[in-house]
Amino acid sequence: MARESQQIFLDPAIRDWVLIPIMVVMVLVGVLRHHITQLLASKPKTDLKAIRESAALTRSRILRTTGVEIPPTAFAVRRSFLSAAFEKHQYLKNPAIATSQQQANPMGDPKAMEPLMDMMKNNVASIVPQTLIMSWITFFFSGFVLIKLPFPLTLRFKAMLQRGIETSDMDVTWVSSLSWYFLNLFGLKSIYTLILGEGNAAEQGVESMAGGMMPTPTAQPMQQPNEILNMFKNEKDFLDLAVHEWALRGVEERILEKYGVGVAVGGGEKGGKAE
Amino acid sequence: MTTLSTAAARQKLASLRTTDSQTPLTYPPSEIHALGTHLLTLSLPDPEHYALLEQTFTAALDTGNIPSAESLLQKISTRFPFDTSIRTQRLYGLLNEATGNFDKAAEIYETALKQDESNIAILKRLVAILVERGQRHEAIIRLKTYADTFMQDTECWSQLASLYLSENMYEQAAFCYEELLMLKPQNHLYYIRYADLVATLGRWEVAVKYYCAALELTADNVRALYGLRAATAAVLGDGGVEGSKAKGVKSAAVVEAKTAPSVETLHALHKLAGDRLTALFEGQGKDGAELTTVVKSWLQAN
Repeated sequence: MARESQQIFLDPAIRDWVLIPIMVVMVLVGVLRHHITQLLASKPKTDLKAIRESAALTRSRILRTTGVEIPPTAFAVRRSFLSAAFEKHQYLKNPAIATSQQQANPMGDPKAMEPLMDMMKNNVASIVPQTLIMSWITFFFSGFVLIKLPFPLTLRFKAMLQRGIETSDMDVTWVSSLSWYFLNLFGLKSIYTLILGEGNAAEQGVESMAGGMMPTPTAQPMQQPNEILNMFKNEKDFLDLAVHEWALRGVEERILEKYGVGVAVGGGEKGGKAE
Repeated sequence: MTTLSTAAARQKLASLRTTDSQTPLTYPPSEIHALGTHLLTLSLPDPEHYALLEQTFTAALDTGNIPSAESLLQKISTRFPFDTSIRTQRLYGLLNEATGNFDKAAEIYETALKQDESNIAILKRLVAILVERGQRHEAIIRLKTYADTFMQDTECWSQLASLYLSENMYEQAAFCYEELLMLKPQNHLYYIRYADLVATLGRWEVAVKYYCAALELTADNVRALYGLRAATAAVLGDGGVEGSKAKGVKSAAVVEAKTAPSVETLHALHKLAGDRLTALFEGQGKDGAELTTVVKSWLQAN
């Protein structure tokens, strides 16, 4: 009962000079970060050899699946060609990795560094402003109570909603300034989508914050050179094992059946008089 | 143009922008140009405005309206300067191509490739210039290196096939169509083209199979029916399947797979193709009367 009667009167100035400014600043910083990330982002450089490498694997996969459409001889030619090419590593982006036995240094290839650099740029762009805002709030507004939630909550939410206020007696529904910051941090996602459109950098910044330093799923995974070697090796094995079952086998009978004509019709007739 | 409301026009042009090369352009460029010029006077959102500028520009080139194209390109390049935007560079190349200045266009494309070596649009333009100039051999060489990297590009394979055809290199063209069959096994036109090719190469049994496959995908395709009629006649005329089996080389593919059809099946197919053709042409009524007699006399001869 005592809890329900707990009344704190908040100065309207807190609303005008703390609650709303924190939110506005966070939205603006999100928008700013979006634009900074766009400036920092290097254009994804595509490499002809990299395209060729993955296209070769796709081609082999296509041959195994829809290769049934082409005549057996054509299939055999392609299979032996691709198999030999894979054996000789002709389609590798960097044929040297096939011969060198030691583990290639992933940092050695400047092209492999690029996704790493992008990841770092993104993280810097998201962490620096968040740290600044957080220190701004803890410096000026620590211990402020900003709003009261209109619904009751269990005690466990205390750590989440009253960060920075060390009392055990206050009702859980009161929200501290630092917690308001965190609520904003994770809750503004849809606002960013509204302002900046889908897949904007501000949103991704929040995600990378939430997931620590883990790369976002959109980031290209770093490919180990050995991995691609294995992929080619596996594909070659699959290709050697592929069985060609011509899809057009018996197509003549299927057509006759489709048109409802028996095979025996017109055995010796050659003219095909249609009337 | 007056019949379409602004919203409808926007939608129409947007759908034309997104359609890929597989669907034929059904709208005449002069109308696209007229619609585009009208829409450009309105204040549309930036992305759409510039997409429209580009579309109207190419439509202007298609209609040979060079002054209009130049003024449109001017507007594009003030927003996206020539030096930084490869897309703008490509448009300048197109303008040069339209005015017949191929050397300048090729130069623009080559410098653009130095910025982005894997720009598909630019790589294709370079091939197109060679084709336009009639340098088919060089075009084939260039397209071959392109196909070696972009192996899943159907447009490239069909262009390569048509280039090989004009050089009378049927085996190579057939190879291209085999690639197309694997990439787009649902497209009946590739089956018919491939059947035509192998028929030209004298592999009639294979041709019969592919005409049948085309008929399986689209019932009563007239071209496939004609082909089937001719191909079955050729196989039967060769002294039957046994005769060609004895020759061995010709029908290696069919014999190897042990899928050679029986003589009765071939006869039935032969008759079926004739029946369907007559029925189709007679079904047209009076309009097709003359055609029907022509078809019938052809059927008699084959």
